[in-house]
Amino acid sequence: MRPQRDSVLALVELMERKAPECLDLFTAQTDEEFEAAFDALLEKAVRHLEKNKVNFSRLNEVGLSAVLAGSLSIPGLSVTQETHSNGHVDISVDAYFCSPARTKLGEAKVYDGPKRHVEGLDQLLGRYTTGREGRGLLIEYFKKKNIKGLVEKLREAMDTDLPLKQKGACQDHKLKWSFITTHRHDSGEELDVGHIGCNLHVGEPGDE
Amino acid sequence: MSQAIRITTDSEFYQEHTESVELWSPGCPVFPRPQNAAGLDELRIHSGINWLLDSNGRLRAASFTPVAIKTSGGAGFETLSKRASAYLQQHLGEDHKWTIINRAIWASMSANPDNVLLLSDIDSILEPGSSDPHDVLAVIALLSEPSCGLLKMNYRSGSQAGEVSNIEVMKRLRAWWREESITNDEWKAWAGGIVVAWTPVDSKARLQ
Repeated sequence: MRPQRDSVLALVELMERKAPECLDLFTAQTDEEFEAAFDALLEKAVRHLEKNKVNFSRLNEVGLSAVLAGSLSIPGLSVTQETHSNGHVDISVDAYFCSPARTKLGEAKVYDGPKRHVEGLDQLLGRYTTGREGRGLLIEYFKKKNIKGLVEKLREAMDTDLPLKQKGACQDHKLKWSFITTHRHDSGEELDVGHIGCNLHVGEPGDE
Repeated sequence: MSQAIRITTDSEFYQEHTESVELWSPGCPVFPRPQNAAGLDELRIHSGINWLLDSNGRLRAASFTPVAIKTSGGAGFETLSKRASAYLQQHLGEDHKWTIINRAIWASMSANPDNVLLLSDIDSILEPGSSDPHDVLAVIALLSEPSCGLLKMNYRSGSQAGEVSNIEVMKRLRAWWREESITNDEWKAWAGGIVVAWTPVDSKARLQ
């Protein structure tokens, strides 16, 4: 059967071609199903950034998050951003096709050490999150080299300090250079936050 | 300009759409510099004034074709297109491709007798040589996001009168994709008969 060109069938086939995980996401019935599908979509968007990092080398966190938003958005799933003067970018993920609709909040910034990372986490958990949203998102664009070592140091610092009522040590994330923390929130809920590393280091000639 | 030239426009169009007709001469200080000016290549592809400009961007012809986006009472497509462009720039950044796609979307809707955007219209929105419809879908996704308030996605059954709800579409999608409680053929038969279309949320913008 040849699908009608303007039909739901044609739209779903377009989405499936972009990423089958879109359909996993829209049909998710549990938080776990939704997060698993979103992680898969996010991984593709992060890989797109990393693959084209030379082209994006001049972009700041706003420009980089804009590329991420363009990669992730598809009818039923919108990714938007609000810029703040302190170098942070608020990201909002709205899956408005899901029933019930699901929202994720995030922060994005160029990595500048554990202290600045925790400031971003504070902003995410303290100011914007109500406790109703899904797992939070903290995206770090690493322009420095050795993302592996930097993420390990960041995890160690967080495991030592347990900032923002962090409950226990960092957990592994499905994505590379990424991890998950759990925090006691003022709402009484325990909220997970995914810390996502994106390797945008562009080596200079003579770089070791 | 080194020599005088005469510029004319369609008198009937000008009578009806005075507010939409402007003459911008590239490089002339008399005219304001647009914030989101398209490049010459983009103008050649997407507007009716392509043949007005020579290879150096100088005005060369003595006639003018109407702009692609029609306007009417209420907000009008031109206004909505500008609002949408500002919204997209905030979230997707300053890449001109988003401006071009946005403008093409509103031009397509204004040209459609029912003022709708259909999936098959995406082919005409794509730039020549571009084969990726997902950038267009990303723009549609953001403009259809409920809090954005610019586009609304509708489903209509081909065999029955009336709209089909998003909940119903998601229920069928879940039954096919995740639960496998309906067969491939059953899904295709149903989804192939539901037309998906986008319309402006602001009903005043609809052309009669």
